[in-house]
Amino acid sequence: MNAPIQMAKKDLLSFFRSKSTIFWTLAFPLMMMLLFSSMFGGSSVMFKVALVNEDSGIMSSVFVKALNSTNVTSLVPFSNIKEAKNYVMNGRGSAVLVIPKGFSNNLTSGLAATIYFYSSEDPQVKMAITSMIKGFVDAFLEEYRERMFSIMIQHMPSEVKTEAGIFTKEQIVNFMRMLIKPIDVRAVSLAKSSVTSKTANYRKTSYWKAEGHWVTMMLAYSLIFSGMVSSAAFLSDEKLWGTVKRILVSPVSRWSILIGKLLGSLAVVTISQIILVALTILWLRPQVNWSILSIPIIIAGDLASIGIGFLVAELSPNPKAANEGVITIGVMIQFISGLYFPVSFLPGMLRVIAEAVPFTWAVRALDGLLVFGRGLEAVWTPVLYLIVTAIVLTSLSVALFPKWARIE
Amino acid sequence: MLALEVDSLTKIYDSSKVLDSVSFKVNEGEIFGLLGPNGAGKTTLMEILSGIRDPTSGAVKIFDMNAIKGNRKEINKLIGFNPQETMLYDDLTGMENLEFIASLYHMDRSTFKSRLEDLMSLIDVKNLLKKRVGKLSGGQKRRISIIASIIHSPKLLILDEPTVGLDPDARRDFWKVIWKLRDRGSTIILSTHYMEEADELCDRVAIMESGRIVAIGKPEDLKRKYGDKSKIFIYTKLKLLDDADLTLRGIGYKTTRMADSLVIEEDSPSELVPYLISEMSRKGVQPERIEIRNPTLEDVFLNLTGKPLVEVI
Repeated sequence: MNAPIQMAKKDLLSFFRSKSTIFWTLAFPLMMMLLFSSMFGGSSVMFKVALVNEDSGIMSSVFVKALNSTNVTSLVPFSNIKEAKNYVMNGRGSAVLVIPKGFSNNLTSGLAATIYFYSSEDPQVKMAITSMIKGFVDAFLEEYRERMFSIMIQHMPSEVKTEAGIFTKEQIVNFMRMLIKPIDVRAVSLAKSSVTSKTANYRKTSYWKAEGHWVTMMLAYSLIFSGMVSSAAFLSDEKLWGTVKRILVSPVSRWSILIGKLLGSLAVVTISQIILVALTILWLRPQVNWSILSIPIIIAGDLASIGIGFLVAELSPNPKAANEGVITIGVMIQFISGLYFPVSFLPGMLRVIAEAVPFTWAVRALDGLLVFGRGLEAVWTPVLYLIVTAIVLTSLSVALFPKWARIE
Repeated sequence: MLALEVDSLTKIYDSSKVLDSVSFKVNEGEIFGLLGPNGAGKTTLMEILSGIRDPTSGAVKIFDMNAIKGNRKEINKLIGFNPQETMLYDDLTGMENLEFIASLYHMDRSTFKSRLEDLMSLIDVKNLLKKRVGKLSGGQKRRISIIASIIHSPKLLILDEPTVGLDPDARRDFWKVIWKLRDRGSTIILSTHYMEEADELCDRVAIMESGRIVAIGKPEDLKRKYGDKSKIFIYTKLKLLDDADLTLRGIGYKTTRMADSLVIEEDSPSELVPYLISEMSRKGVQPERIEIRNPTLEDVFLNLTGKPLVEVI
């Protein structure tokens, strides 16, 4: 058993001395995490809005304060509309919001008030900011109505006599509440309802904003990409450097070579997973439902990925082709397996392909465990699929290995 | 005892015969050279002997063990192979490369250390071991590669073009290493296309061309059998060249007139030269300089194949 271990040790040393390897196994996934977390993370200010507040009343200052607290906009005050418009037209801001004189007065006097909104011409920005502002105004008004309503309740008599009869204060309150908000839509997080860990406390309902997915991403990236790249490189580099000849003339069996390569690849994937997950935890401090059930998924996924790497190396005519082949396959799988965005985002045919890829199941199962706190029911089917895939791919690579090891 | 016995070895690639019924024997403790141009089949032959390639047909016995269908693992313990490429891991240091290769031969740490120290007395790699191989020059890599091939003290060492890319001094230093290894009991088979290397280094030589062995024997015997006669070049002052020619013809030697010399072909030139000098002095045509050019393996190759080796290379 000494030879495979020495082989794995040598491969590991060689692998982590290569700058390109460090980039692809550690730096690249971290960059992707940074990119996606900044795109989908919930705390960053997305729009700069030029604000012209011509009203000096209390309602306008409450409105501005509430808008500022959303963290979605950053309000930049301007004294006149012309300057504010120039600010947006020069591309520095996304929209102009004008609160005209009399805004507060109207609202406190029972009259309708108006605000003016000029948006950037960029269709995506226009759509996003308009929807955001309308949503905000709706929420603001709901709050406003609630407050007005509670003031009215305080001054309401216990009974009101009308031609239709006598209504109690409670009946009137219920009726008015219905007029204010006929349908109450309550968004409930799927994650929130199933989270078992006390530490897991999700503020957002979106899959993308579920912080545990960053851990899935790091684990699955290594499992998909690093496993394939390392195993293919470990085989094809021996031919690239001609060192396979030196191994073949030694008294080491050909199977020891393959076992050594397998151990080396497993070590690479495991080390990169540990480093990436540790960095993710330190960096983003995600809330995760840690589960021991993720271990079989990771191991089965690692083996399936390593099997693909071996096969590509064995079937490629030369080391360069093996390297290109494995990177192409690895990148494609990364993008369709739900690593960076949900499979439901994919167009029809790609979605069908994605569902057939075992790594999609691995990503889904890891999310099930780590993000949504699910149990064994989330794991056993993907694990079975991954194990079958790993067995098939590894058997194929074992069958082709003698041919690869023969110099023709 | 025979270290190697090759019988009717043939290798066919895509209907092209790279080795054509090659047969020869190598005695234990011998330095045996395979001499021939690129494409003669030397590398294929060596790779079959090393177990890297399978032959199409034929038999190979290494220390009386069947090397084609026998226990290759046992045979591999006895042989060392150093191909044309240096076969080292560029990302690892010289020492890490050697440690890994030693581990393939199940060598423990203390054996490895003492063996390395011993080999470092033959080949100077002291300052190279801590550097990454990728940063070494071709010659430096080759030195480490040779140590890697002999770290396990092989009884049969197969070296494919071991001195390619080395300067003449380094090449001569390498010959000394080969002689020392032979003195320690190793049998060495090496391929080369350097005539003087085969001539000086090898006890016996097989001349290969187009996958066949066209001649085999001791270099001296081959030169005697297939080489030209030795040539004596006699230089005098130009105005005396005609008189010298007459003198030599007068004592029964057939001369060929060159631009500034006369040439006589002779089997034993060193015995004849004193006689020629005294005869010419007696006739007053004192030679200014006399050169003896002995036949080379280059001549042997030319005479056997009809083409000069250097042109084929």
